[in-house]
Amino acid sequence: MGLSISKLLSRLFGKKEMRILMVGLDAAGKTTILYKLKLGEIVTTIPTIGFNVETVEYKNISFTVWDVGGQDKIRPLWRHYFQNTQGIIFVVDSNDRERFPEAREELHKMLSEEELRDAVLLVFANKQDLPNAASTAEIVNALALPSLRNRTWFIMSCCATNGDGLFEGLDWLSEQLSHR
Amino acid sequence: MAALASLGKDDLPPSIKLKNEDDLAVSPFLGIEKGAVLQECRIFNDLHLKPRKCVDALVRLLYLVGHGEKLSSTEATEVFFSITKLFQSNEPTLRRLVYLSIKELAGAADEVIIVTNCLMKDVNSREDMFRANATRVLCRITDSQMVSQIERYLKQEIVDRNPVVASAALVSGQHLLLHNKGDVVRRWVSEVTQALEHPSPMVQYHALALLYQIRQHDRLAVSKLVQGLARSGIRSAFACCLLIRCILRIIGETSVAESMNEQRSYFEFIESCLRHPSDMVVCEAARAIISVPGISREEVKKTVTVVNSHLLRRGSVVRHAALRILNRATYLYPNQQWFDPFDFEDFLHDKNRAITTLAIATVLRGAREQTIEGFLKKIQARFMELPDEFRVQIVEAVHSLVLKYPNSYYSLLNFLGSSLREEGGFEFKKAIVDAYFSLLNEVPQSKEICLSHLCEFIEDCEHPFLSARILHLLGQEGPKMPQPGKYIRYIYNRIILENAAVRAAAVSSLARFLDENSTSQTRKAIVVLLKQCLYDSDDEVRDRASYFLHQCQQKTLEENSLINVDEELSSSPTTIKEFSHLPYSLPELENSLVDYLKREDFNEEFNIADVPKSDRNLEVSEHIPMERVTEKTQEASSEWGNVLLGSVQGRDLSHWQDKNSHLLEMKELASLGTLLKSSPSVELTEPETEYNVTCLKHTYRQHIVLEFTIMSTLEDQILENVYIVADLSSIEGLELVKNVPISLLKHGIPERAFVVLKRLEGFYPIGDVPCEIRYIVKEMNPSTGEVDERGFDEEYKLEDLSFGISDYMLPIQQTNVLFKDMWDKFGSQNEVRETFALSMHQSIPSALSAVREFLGMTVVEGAQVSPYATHHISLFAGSLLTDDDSVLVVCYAEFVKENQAVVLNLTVRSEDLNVSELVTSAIA
Repeated sequence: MGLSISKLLSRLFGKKEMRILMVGLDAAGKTTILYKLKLGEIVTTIPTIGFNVETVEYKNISFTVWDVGGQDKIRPLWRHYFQNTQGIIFVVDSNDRERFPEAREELHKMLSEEELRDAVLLVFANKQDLPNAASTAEIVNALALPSLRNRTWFIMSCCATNGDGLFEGLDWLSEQLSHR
Repeated sequence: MAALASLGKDDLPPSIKLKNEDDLAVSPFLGIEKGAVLQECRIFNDLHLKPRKCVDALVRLLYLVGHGEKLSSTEATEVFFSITKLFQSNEPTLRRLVYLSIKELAGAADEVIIVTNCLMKDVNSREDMFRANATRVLCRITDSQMVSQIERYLKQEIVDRNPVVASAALVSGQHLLLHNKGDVVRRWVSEVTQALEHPSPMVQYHALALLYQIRQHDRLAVSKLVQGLARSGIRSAFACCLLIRCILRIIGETSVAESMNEQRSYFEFIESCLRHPSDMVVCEAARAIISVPGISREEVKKTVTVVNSHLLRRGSVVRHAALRILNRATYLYPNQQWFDPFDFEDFLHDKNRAITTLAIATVLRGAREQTIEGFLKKIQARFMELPDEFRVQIVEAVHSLVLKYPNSYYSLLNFLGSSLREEGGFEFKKAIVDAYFSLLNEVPQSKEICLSHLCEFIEDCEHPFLSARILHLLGQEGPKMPQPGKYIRYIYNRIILENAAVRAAAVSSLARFLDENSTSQTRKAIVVLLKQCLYDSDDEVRDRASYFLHQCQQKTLEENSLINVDEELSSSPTTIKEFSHLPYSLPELENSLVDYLKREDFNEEFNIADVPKSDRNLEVSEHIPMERVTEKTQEASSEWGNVLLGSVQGRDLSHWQDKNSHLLEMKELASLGTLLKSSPSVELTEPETEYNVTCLKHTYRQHIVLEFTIMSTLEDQILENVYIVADLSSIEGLELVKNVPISLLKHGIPERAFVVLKRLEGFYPIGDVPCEIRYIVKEMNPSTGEVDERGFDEEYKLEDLSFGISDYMLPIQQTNVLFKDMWDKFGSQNEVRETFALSMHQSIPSALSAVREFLGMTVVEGAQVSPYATHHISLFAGSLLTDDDSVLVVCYAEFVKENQAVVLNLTVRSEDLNVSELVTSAIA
């Protein structure tokens, strides 16, 4: 009996869980970010046909991160992973200015889904280490983030290869979780 | 913890108590249902996964799919994607079920490639179980474009040390090849060849299978592979068996002369396998050897000896396999006698009934003729204990044995006969009956015994199907046998005792005995039996009986003797309805017959002519109630034959007879010949007049008889000498022959007067004939019945009686000729075409039925037509009194909206232009 009570307590006061959906255009660096968060190291990746799912423990919160591939043919399948998602991480390749409009379109299309009504949005402006990277302000405009109504959002510049900004992003997410 | 443990124990007992047999039989999946399971699978989407619950749900889902429950594409896709969520858990049990579920759903769901990445990750993981299973699943969900991306991993796995992983990769390769996804697989040859050296027998087996599959279309490569392996030997028993099968296929494909040397080496390998430590390989090798085409008898015998001495003493499975090989050998080499049945004695009492059966069948096929009888006696008892499906095999074996040793048919048939008497299901009995049928033809000397066994069988056969077959056979064979009478008895017993289907078969069978060279005695007897079938309760039985009787009568018209039989028979009717039209008063007839019997002088025939004719006037009143009853129940067949049979000559015309006709009583009409047709009755007076008169027209070949039924509604008079005067001046071709008056007509009692007209040759008179009644009327006091003797002549005008073409039209006799053929035969030279507008008719069906009534012809085609149809074609056929004046009509009807009328286009063809014209002019 004692055992089951202590189990119950740990669930109430112990680790919180958060389901995160990480999407973005292909080659934005989603899988690299995921494994940098999970393992703290850079893994060589191939284009993701399908998805990766990993649990990342951070600040006593267990983040279940769904990294779904960004290729054209997989994008329509993102919707299967919307249910119960509390936070969206949208990853943008800051150097790929040409595809900012495409990224904006995908982002806004996704956010109009009813299932994601309550999810908070974190935008990772990835690949900041490259010389010609766009600033966060530029990306905010390019993605038309201010036009989002009833959506808590945050943009974080980051670099998956050296880990800059990744955990700051998670900090913001955990803060959002505690607000509820 | 202790508390928990004890709690657990307390919880357990109820489930343990369930352990009586009934409860255990209940499936844990009982009553699960698709909707509920799909609902349950939604828990996979939960934020916090509960692996145990997920496992349960997956098991139920797999159960459903495994039992053939069909998921729609949407359902499958939805549940498939929810299952992909389970990849977040690394629980091995759960993951294994996820693999299985993906495999099951891969066919039904869309976009299954979504799991590619996860599976590739598992393929590369350190867990061997994950690797093997993920590999198998991966090649299920992949498509031909993706294969190149996973190929690298598969190739690595083939040479993996872990046998499970290597096998999984090899089997996946086979799968890819089989589903045309894997041309890449053909480049794996070196890896697969390497896998052949793998220490695990399973991997060797799978590697050989894949290698063979890759090369199977390249015969040279296959034989090289096989030769190499045959020389080096292969350790895996499975692989060995597979190799033997490959060799067998190669041998089957090469012609014998082509490469004796090559075959020799193969054969040596197979032969060496006979000494393989594994029984399985020995079985395979033995099976292969006996089925090699063109192999020498010596080799076969040697192999059979090996099997006999070596394998038969093993466990049940091997023993069964060995017996199957021997059984096959006896099939392939039916003339060899390799066994002594007594070698097999042990197996006859084997616990396993499949083995017993095979043993018996094998011995029967392979045994020497002299030993068979003793053997059959020995197995008889054991045979009866076996279930039907096994007995069927043995019956087949006995059957082939009779064919092999026709001279022993007697003892073998005895065996079959006694089997037939035993209890058994349909399949078993059918097998025996089949055997008899075949033996009858193959072994002619057994025919009589076969038939007698079958006759005995139908006496107590609960399968109508078999009874009917046997009855048919008896009808076929019985008449040719020396004593056909014997079979007739068996057949007739069926008519008395069986259900309708068998009775019908028996009637047909019985009739067959009429055709052959039967004595007139038998024929008479059969006719008697068939006559009785006319009163059967079943339509089919009656139909068949009357058909065969009719056929018989036609055949033997010239044999007066038979017709006499008929008359004798028909004057001994069994039901009261037969009497209704007998022109004798029943009591008188009875008295005469009793007198005849009392005299006891049977040298003198009973003379029916001496019986006084009934006085209809007196009798009608008595008979009215009875007639009403009989009219309702009248059946067509038997009414007529009694009086007119001699003149009607067997022709069944009863359907023409109007129920009210009383022609039969008119003796003078008999001289007119055959009655061809009677019209429906026509009213010639208004309903509420002094006299009600209806008329029937009876058409004979040369005459027309008008039958007037007259009833007086006036209470205060009686009529005498009532006769009809028909004014024939307005119609051509009719002559008055005779007038039959009514002598006395009382109030309320209908009486009949007749007018006999002669139709002149070549005339088909059409038109209206004015008619009137002439009579002497006498006053009568209705209360006292006193009649004033002073009568005076009166006449009473009737409505005109009309004659139409339908009075001369008969249904066509040659029913088996096609309309089209006859139409073409007549040709267009005798064709008349005419168009009519029928403004009285507002729809095609009513117009058509009017035409049909008018012409009195039969509708051959196009009788059914919708009232809303705008055009329609019907075909009519008929003949004008003589059989050879056939008339065919094609009627095209069209509804013309503007005129609100039906337009008919009639095309008439016949043998004579005049006839065609007559028909068309009749309508106009």
